[in-house]
Amino acid sequence: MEEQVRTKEQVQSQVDNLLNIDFVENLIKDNKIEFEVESQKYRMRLLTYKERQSLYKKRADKYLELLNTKNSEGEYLYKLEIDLKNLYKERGIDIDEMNNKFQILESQKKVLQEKLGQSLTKEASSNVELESYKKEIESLINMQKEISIKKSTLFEFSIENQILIFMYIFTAFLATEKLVNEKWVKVWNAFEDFENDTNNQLINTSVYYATILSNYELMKQ
Amino acid sequence: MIGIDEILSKIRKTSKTTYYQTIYGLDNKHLNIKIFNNDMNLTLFQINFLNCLAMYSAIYMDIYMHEVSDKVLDNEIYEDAYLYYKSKRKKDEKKIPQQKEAPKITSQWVFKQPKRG
Repeated sequence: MEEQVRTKEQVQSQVDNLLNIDFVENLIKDNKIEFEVESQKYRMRLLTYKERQSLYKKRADKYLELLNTKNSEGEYLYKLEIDLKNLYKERGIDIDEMNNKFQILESQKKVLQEKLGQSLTKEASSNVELESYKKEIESLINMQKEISIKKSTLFEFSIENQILIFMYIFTAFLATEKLVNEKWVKVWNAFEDFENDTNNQLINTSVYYATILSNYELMKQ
Repeated sequence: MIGIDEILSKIRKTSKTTYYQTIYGLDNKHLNIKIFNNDMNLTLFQINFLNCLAMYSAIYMDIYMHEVSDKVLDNEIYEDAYLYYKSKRKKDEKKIPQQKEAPKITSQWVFKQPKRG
């Protein structure tokens, strides 16, 4: 019985993997993503120049709004990453130290990568040697991932991160279209319509695809 | 719904396949084979895919030239390590100053050293 469950899980995982590969191949082939919600066809496309201008204007407005919002005691409600960094330092969490640690791990990784790379060019190198380097590098990568996750959790509520989320939401509003009589038309005419839409599945899927397609985080790198 | 990291990893795996490597190889011969439906406005994933195609094409070429073992393709850690080693080696080679060869005498005139008295 246990084995049957395991086999079922393995099959499901393989099916998921194939579906994901199919999804990724479609993502590569086109700069638009088509999807269906409740038998209605939708698509997410890249923003036009005019829409990008509108997005950047909205981003600036949102940034100033968050920057200037105060609570009932007259204190600024939202914090920039730099403010949070100082606040965390007062509480014993040193972001600079985390960055330094990340860089040290990066240097250690590069030393091992060089050794592993060189070993791969030698015919005599054994699998044991290669595997040992691989394990060491994997361990360093995992440590780096831990630092990155910790940092993004600490900055989750920063103004910068909220702006990023807002950009994805606004992109979803601007670039989601639906197929009506063989023509692609905008789903929402105004941002208020998007915000008041009760079709959560459509909203969530649109924002997800806006995140995938526009990928503002990757643009920053 | 899959995350960005997983998408990037799958893009890498897709670009490594014989199918896409063949298309990439043929595209280099200007046969005008289209990989994408769109000609312009590439997404960051499409740009990333093109980079991966070039990266794997270079690795396959190095394997063919016996510069590296085909074990390199066993996993992404080996691939990254090899590419890092290769780029570092190139940088280091550039840093070493080329030794100047002694200039060869091209003139037909031969000047004798004056005899010391």
